[in-house]
Amino acid sequence: MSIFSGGKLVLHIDDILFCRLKYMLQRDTTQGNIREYLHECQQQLATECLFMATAPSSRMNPGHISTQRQDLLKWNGWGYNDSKFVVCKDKDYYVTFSGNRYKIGNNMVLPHFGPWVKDTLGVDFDDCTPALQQPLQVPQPIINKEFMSEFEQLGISYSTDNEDRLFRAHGHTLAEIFTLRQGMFPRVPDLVAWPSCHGDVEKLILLATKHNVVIIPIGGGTSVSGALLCPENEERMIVSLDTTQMHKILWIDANNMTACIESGIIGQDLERRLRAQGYTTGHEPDSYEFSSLGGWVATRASGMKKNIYGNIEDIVVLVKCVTPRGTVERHTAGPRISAGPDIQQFILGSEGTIGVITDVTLKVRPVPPVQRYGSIVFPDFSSGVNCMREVAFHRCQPASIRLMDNEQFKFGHALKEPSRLMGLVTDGIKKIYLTRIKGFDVNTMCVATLLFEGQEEQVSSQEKKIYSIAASHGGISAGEANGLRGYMLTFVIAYIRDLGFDYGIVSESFETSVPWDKVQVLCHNVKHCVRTKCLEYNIKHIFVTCRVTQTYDAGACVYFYFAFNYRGLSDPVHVYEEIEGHARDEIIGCGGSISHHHGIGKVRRRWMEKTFTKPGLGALTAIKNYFDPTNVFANGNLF
Amino acid sequence: MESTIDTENISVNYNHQESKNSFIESEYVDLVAERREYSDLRFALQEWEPLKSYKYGTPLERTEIFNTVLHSERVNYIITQLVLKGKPRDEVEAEVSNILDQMGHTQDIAIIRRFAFMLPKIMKSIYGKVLVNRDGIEKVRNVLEETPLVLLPTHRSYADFLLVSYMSYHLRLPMPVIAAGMDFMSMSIIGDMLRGSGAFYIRRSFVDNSLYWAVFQEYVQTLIKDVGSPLEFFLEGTRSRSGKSLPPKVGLLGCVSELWLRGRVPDLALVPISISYERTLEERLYAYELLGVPKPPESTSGLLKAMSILKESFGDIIINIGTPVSLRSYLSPHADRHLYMAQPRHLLPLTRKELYACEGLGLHVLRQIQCGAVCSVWSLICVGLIQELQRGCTTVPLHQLVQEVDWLATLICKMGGTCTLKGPVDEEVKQALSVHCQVAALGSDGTVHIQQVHLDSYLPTQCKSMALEPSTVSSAVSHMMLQHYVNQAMHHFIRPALVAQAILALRDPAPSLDKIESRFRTLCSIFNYDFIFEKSNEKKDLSEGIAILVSSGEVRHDGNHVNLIDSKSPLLNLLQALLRPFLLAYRATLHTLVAGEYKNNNELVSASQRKVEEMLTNEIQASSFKVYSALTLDSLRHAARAFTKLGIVDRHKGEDGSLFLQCSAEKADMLNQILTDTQFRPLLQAHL
Repeated sequence: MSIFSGGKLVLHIDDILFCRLKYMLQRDTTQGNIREYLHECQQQLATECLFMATAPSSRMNPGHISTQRQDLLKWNGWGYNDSKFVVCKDKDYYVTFSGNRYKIGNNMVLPHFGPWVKDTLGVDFDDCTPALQQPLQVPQPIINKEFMSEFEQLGISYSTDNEDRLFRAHGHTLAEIFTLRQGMFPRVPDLVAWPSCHGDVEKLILLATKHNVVIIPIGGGTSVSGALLCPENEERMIVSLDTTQMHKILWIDANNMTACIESGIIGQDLERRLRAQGYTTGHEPDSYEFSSLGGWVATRASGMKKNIYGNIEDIVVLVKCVTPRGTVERHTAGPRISAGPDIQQFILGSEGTIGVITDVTLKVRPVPPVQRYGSIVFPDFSSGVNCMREVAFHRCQPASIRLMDNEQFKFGHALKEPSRLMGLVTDGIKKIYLTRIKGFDVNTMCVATLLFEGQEEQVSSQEKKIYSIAASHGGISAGEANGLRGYMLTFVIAYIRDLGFDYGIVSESFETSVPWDKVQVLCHNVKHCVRTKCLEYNIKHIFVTCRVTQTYDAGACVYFYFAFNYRGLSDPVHVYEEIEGHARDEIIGCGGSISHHHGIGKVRRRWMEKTFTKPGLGALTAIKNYFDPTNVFANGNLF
Repeated sequence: MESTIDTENISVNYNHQESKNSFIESEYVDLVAERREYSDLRFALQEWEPLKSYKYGTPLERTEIFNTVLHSERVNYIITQLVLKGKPRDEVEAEVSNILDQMGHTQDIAIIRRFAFMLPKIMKSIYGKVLVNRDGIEKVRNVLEETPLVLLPTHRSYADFLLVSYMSYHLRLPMPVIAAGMDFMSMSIIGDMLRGSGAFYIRRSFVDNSLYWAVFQEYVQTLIKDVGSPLEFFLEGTRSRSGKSLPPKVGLLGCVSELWLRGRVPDLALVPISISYERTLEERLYAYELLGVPKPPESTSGLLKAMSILKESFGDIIINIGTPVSLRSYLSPHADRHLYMAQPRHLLPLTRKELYACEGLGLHVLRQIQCGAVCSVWSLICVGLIQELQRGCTTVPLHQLVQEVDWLATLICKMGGTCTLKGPVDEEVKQALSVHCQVAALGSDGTVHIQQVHLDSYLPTQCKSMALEPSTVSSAVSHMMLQHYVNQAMHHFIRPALVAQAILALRDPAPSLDKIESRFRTLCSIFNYDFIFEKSNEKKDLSEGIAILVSSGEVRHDGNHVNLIDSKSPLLNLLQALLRPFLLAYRATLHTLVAGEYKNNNELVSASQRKVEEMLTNEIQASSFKVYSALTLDSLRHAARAFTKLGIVDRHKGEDGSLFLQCSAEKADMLNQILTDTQFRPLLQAHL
């Protein structure tokens, strides 16, 4: 199979096989023969590799996102057009996942998923609310004629097509997708422009400033903060500045291990192209199949493997940003500078309020030779958190370590593919081992997933350390496959929301960062808060779960999923927003932050002053006003 | 300025409530009915597990709890501080162990079973029914799995200690741990038995002992957040001898609230529990105690002596479990938790603002408790009898009393209260009189005779510390016995009574609403300790008070003014009569303050009590009402406290450097006007 020709991947698979074997031997499975087991492993791996092969980083069909995104991506939901959960009816309803991009795809029946949604969320598969097939009438564009006549001279490609404009009028919050499925935004961009380089952007901003036209920059469009929504009352012409045609890697500097890249490049494309030359940025936010480099910088994104590579602010060396006052950049690539507050820190996280990020110089690293997954089950959430805390204390985090709570652990099981006979047996044995012999309670146990990267000796010593810390907290290694599945689910989970919509379920995620001593209590309190608020709204079926996704010296990042059955409610989006508002109040009241990596956008603005004080916020506003005195960048984020 | 008081809506509301508030016995479970039919032994030995309990709690042994406390950041921090000051570490740690040993409870099912065996026997002999409202039980069951419970019962009697636990055992609710005062611990056998059934002991005063305070806080908080046991304590801090609610103590409530304020629990469910005794076990003791006749210290032998009461009948008990108050919902608008979240929790005592909010919460829960209390027929009888007694009559024709009770019951329902009245009024009155025959007995002539309760043998042999003349005590005891039950209904009347006082004392036939409001607010702040007012509810209290007067035809509400129609009407008369003892006590305190200098509050209170005595026996006042219940130390202490808080009391340094309490005549005069008895103004002025 040609997809394995990279060599590294083959190596990788051997590692997995080896590991499996080792794991099996460790468990001293005396019954059954090893040959049979090996065969089983190989078969299983074949399916896993399909995911690897089609997983974004190694997709066969290279190429960036075209100007016609809707050809590849859903116009009113998450991800690829061909990938989605499908409800089928045979004797009973069952659920499959379409497309061959993900491991659980290929229309494989997911036998546990249907019953799980029914039990947890009270879904009735006979009661379907399909989305609109076509968008409703898109609002007429407001055209600034003087601007248009000069703009057309610039030779920048553009469109006023309704679909193009609508596609760039939103991000992916619950409210936005709900609007797309059932209605229309009151205001959408009037024109979409595709500059192809930094120079194009400079000309465009100059012109927009001159004619008082609003610019809203957009990259991958995966925002979950309402950042891309056009302010409803904006009467000026709004240009959506789509950066995705600026997708070149301008240079790679092997001496300094840096690369200069245009901001519109999409995560998976960047990674694939760098890997082709033996490099990686190591930045993998969960959205990286679709999100762009510029978006990462503008929202202070965080990647799954930040423990090795750092978050975006650690990876960025230089940023070039076009503002109405001109281009801001730093004329030195010196690794650290003592010269007053760092202006780049104002651009990081500016969410499109002061300018457009065009070129970014990033640190790159050689592709690690070894990558291994792992997982640990804990008797309860509390021992899991304590283990993570200790790992962070010793600063021995692997590339990624995540802890899922019991609800999410069960949810992961619901998405399991059908087991073959041998699988059934081993699953059965595992379960008996955990619950009967180790005394784990199925209703409290939870799982941590691990990803190790680096040289073989680094990885194995790290594994040893982590598993021994875990053991001291009652954790038991649960194998590589479970770890791999965990990370795969991260990508797939985003597709579930669209299925839910059809059957009266709304769902969304929100996140925070919190000091270690408050992690457990915050998780508990927020879930309690969500549950009580749901009761107040008379919502009967809810699913609220959290996971600790990042660890730091002084705290952790916690990520919540929340879904509920809205049958019987007239305005589910409003109810959702109210409840999330209460949850955020609770988060902040328990010592959590306003956001770890999603950003502020419009949905979290109201907590800014509470968190940063009036003078703090005033200073930020003053900087925005200096860069952009006529409010060209009027997306209304942050303040 | 346009006034926003909306009286019409409120009167409509009242009519609504009338039907809702009738007492329906089928809505209650009788805790002793079953015991009368089945074996107590089997009840005590049944396999016992709560039906539901807090999901996130872990049962911990006594020593495990001690260890958690000892290793908590807060206690550790204090220990380190003390060590840094030069105390040896093992000494300090030993002290922590001592404190914990003295404090800590055990919850031994064997001891609980012993209580479960004994208590029904006692209850069956002295009580009729012990009723608990079914909907309250359900509400508690609905919250207790997700939210830790804090049970907040009224405290009128020692019986309260056992009643809630007994109820929990019967209803298979999780057994509470109970905060008890140290004085119980010294009672032999009983002290240990209480400990074994879940009581833990706290010192009465330990503000200055930082180690004790830290250990105490951690102990209480561990019980709630780690063990998840329901915590039971008395908001009022001590048994209310007067029958009214005492102002809330903020200590334990603050300690509990801190759990939420510092983000350690998602919420707490505060459960208001109103325990209404038809007859209070300690009624006679209280009467003497409030007059200042010294009481014997708590002891088991004292308790055994009290056993003689086992032969008497004490009527029914009604336990009303209110809707649990969400601590989070109440405190959220008053707290900025996020401001303190960037610092270590154990270094942050509650801020002044937070303590104030906790106090508000305490008042709120107390109001809920009051609203849940069921008013007994005897309370209403006492309202009628005490007015007669104050006029000097000791007999009342039964039919007149029945009429009065009927009228009062209707009035209370109209104001949103519930009375136990369910059958024909005369039957109920007779029934109540039979329970309380020692205080008021129905003669064969169809008249009710108020009894002379006091016997000289009750007085202790050496009564040096008693301020009052024996003759005064002799007359006052009956008053006090009646007042105890009048007070149990006072929370219904106090708001309209203060509104009436505000209107009448203005001596203006049509005072403006603004004037009334400002008077009303002043009165509320004066009587702040004697009665429970929620600051945020004062406007509502005022409009409800006016609405009651309007709906009974006493006043007319006319735009911005209130017109007095009939100052001799029965309702106004009643309200004035009910307020009279309190007005007198407060005025006496003012007089006392003007007349002399006092070293401390105790001295002031004793002097005030003598002043009341003097006013009651004074020739000039001979024709006026004999409001002996104004002698109550309870109100006199509250008066001293309120006047201090309001800044009426000046503190002087005497020549020898000691402190003196005094009050200027102008300040006193202003208050005197507000507190004037509206039926006897000329007389009093002459007296001043």
